[in-house]
Amino acid sequence: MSTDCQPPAASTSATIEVSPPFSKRRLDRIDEPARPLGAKRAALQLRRQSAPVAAEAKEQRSGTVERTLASRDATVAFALRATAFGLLVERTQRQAVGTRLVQTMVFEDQPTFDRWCDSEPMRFEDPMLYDRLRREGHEALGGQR
Amino acid sequence: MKHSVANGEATSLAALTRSPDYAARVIDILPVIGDADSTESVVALFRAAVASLGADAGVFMSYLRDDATRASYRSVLACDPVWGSEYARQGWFEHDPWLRHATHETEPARSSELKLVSADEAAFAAASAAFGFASAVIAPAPTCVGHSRVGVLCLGSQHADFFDDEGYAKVRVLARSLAMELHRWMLQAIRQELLAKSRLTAADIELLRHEEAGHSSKVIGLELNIEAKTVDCRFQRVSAKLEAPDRRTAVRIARLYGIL
Repeated sequence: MSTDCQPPAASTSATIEVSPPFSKRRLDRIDEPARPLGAKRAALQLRRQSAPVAAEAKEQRSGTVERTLASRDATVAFALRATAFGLLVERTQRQAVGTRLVQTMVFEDQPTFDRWCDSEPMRFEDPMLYDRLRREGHEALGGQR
Repeated sequence: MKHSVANGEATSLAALTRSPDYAARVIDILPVIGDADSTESVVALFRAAVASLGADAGVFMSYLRDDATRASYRSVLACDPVWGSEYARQGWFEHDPWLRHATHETEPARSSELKLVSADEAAFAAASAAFGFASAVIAPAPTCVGHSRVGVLCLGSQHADFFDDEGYAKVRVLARSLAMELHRWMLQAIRQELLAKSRLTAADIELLRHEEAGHSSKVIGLELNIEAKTVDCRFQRVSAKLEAPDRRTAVRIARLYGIL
């Protein structure tokens, strides 16, 4: 075994010659399933993703038009806005595994809104949120008429 | 929402489509959807299109696979909103045969033509029938990014065989157009949402373009006259803004949301 120290490859050149394919970084194919993350990186990503969710749990009032209500664990949020077409509701549900379900609908009248509220899974899971949802919805529907 | 009724009886799809202005009414709505400036306008236009097509209910869903850990399902409802609650409660997105069809096919199909592959899908079909989808037309909105982002429009009728007559030929064409226009609007909406949320700057987007072109940090550094380590730092910030684990995923997200 030789113990001679080999000098590193010449790297003193002022300009970097770029010749394919060595200059190209690997890119993920967009039409294929996403590249799986390693265990360490996946854990880090999960921690990062959970941070902003907690911040969004706070109720927001942007101006006077849109109201956002969120459940205690921030897994479900409702954005309510009174519009010329009726009450716009955007329901967002986050799953623990990173899946997000966003449903957008418009309610033209209070009975339809009440019927939807009665079917809302949060009715029993977070009664306080449910109560606020109904109250804010009625307020918005009353305000736009 | 009920489809046209004449003399107390529901009109068949064939009779509806024979009306001289049937297609014109839908075509008048289509160009307005893609450029609508508000979500509520789109919901109203979608409802009008569903009614003009003679359907009782409509749902448009967009599926987007951000990265290995995140996926989003966004839907616009022009149907009984209780269906939305049921969909969320049951987690139907995991067993949605309409979405499965759109993921694998580009051609519209009727629900009667779909082969249900599991008991969960059969349960989905039975549940949807109670909310105005006893028969349905499923129109995929394919994209250039394959399975990573797809859209699907489902038009429903409370009558089990409503879409099975010769009127379907016209509905198929119009439903496909409606699906593509709704998907166009959805892409614009999610793009705006991501830009507002992430606060990406023009310089960030330029950096992502370099990565998309396959340039290394050294090459980018030479181009921008900065150190390669500075490039890496800037990429870390851009990835954090997009909630991406690395710069390759950041580029993927930017492409999926139409930023690049």
